[in-house]
Amino acid sequence: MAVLTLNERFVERLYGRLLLLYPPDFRVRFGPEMLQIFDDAYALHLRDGTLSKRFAFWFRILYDFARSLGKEWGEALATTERVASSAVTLAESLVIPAAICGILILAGFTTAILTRRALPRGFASPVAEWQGTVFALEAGAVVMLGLGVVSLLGAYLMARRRRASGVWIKL
Amino acid sequence: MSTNEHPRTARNRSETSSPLTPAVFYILIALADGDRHGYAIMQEVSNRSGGTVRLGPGTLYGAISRLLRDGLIEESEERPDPEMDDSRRRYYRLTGQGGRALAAEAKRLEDLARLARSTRTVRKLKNA
Repeated sequence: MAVLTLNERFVERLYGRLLLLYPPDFRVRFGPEMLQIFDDAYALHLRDGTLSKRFAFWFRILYDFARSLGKEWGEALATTERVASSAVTLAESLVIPAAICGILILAGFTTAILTRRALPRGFASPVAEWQGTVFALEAGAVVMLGLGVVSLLGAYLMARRRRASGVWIKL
Repeated sequence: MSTNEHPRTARNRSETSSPLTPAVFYILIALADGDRHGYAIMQEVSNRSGGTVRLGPGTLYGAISRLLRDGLIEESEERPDPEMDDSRRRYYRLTGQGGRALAAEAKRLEDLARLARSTRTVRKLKNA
């Protein structure tokens, strides 16, 4: 197994957090494998290096995430026997991302307030440079949460349709 | 290739004979020549489709989950080299039912292609 750099570890952790939004059964069964192939794919794209290719990689990953999240929840909710328990696990699944999101937002605002208060006017501090990163993380977390909410709504609508149609096998 | 069959698959398949989605079809093709893990399936699908079909982890494992449930593929116990391999990897193989589904889909597409080629419009475009 390849040794991961700090950046790769952070990215792997970030993707791991995204996986928490999948239905629990799916996440437990396939989560480690998904994380593993994400590592392989990310390492390959890092070697490629160009910014446009990295952007395309992330776009594909996030698009695939949003699309499959809806489908997996649709699948989980479509099984009539599991509707009641899925409602509970859905709430459970949202607790961790919501907590992470909350912590990031709180950390971002605290950093911003403390930096602003502690520094004299016009003083350039290295801490101030991190503000952009912190706000970018906050924005990222909010986008992820938004994607999750939209996907869950889609999942619910799909589940209602699929229950009626009884399709055999679809992606 | 194993002959394990899921009763639900056999029943539903014979009742509906639904066409497979392109991604599912490509995954079955990727597994037709041997056992593969998820990343190898992704690469094989990308290579075989000339880069036009690229499966992300979510789509791939969503499809694998349904293929396992319907008995078209199964998890393989054999690992090529456990020492060198990542323990998180799991290998998959086609079942007998999966092989038959793949062959049936290939025949369906062949028949469709033959039908399309027999039309005047396609013949004219082919000759032009």
